[in-house]
Amino acid sequence: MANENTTNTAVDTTSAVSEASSHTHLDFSAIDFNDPESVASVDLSGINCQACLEYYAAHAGEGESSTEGNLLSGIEFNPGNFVANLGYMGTGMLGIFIVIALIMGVTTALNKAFSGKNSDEQ
Amino acid sequence: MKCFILDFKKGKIFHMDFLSSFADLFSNFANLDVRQVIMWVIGGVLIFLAIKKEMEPTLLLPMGFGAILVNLPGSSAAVESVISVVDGVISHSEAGPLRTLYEAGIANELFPLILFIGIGAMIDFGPILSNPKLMIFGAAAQFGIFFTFCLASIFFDLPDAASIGIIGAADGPTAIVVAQQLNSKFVGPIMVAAYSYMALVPIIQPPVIKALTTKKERMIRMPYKPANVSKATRILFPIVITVIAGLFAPSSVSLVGFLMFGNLIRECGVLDSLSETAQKVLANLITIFLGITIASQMHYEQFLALPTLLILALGLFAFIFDTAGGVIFAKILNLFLKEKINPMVGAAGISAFPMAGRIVHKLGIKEDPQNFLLMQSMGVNVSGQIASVIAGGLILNFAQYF
Repeated sequence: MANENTTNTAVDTTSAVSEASSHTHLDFSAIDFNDPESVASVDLSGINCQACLEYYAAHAGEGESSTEGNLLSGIEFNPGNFVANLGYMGTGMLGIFIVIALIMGVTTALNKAFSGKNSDEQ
Repeated sequence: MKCFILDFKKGKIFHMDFLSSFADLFSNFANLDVRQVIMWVIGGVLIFLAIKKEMEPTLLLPMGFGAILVNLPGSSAAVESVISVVDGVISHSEAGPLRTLYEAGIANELFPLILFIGIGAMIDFGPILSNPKLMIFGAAAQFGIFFTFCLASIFFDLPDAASIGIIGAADGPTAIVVAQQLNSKFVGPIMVAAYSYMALVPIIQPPVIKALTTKKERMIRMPYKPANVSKATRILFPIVITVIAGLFAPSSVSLVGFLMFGNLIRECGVLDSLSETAQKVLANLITIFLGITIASQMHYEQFLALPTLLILALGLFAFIFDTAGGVIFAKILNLFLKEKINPMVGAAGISAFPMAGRIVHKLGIKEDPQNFLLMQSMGVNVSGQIASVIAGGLILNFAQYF
């Protein structure tokens, strides 16, 4: 949906840019929002049209984030990554055991410190 | 075909093109895509599960209805706000109501965090306070998060893989916050997977538990030995947890903090009306908005795509490996313990609260009608809630190395 709007605007804004105005507009006709390189190469210096800047900011990430049109976009296949990231798994599990062990210790200490004081439960 | 209408009162004759007007009524049918119909069916299945099977109706019903709502041709419910420049005229179309709700409550993580206040107010930490040893299973049952993260990294970049792994937290709010903070491109599918699988825990967990345990193991009894818990302990516990979690995993502070704040309201004893409001009105209100707003991410163009289907599959793996992690950890502990633990209790460490605890209790009773595991499994379940939030914080800490 958004891509359709983008395409339309890229064509239609040509006339807007050519119009004399106190604002310096962005030439959307030169930008392909589906191409991250095209988006990254845009020079925003000197552009003082707020609407143009807002439009650009709102659509700049579309090429990267859009999953429309390409079923495989966003997916790659690197089996080696599984082994490469096992370190995160080890660190994560170790971290969570350490934090939970600490909480267990503190809870036990709290129970001992306050045992018999205002006990309210079964 | 033109049709002339006589207006006798005004003495005028109007004509209108009935055929074209009548045809206009059906013009939207031409915009119908078969994938939208598939989404209606998916929405219908969610509604069926919610009503007929009573599976997490508070989540599945709004999601099911929302899925139909956003997949009607030309639906304005979830459209984004668009600034367009046409022929020199700048126009600004307003966002649809579901998109507005998304921006207001999910994109900035407000809804999940507020919901955590309600969840915190609902949770009774009594079972783990009286038996802190049970907490360790909550840690073990987070295995699925990290394993799925590694698995997902085969297909996705690391921030997305980490966001997908956190589906295994079995905790919707945590999944939303982590995916948002990591700027995942797949926040929508991740939310849908997290909430759907939470609702489907009664279907996912039992076969995994049965596959990993023998009948003899499932019949192990665990006598419940309640210990007195002082009010001071109950009040200090949420504060201490927040401090510890904040020191070790600062990224989890907002999650843990809101959860524990809710619990502090419950336990302090002087804010009963606030506690009741947080548990009921606040939690219900946010759940209504959250459910239907999540559905706004179920647009067919995004949902019926390979990455989404892969994310749903990986989310299922996460739940399975969480369950397996808890059960296998309990079995390993049993090798060293004189007083054996029913390994099913380990499966309750998955955060889905209170479903996972109830499932373990039901499975225990099924094997042995006198085997009551409710308090133990609820204790583990509650610790899973804490552990999953901390796991989310750890994942966010990892993000600086991605």
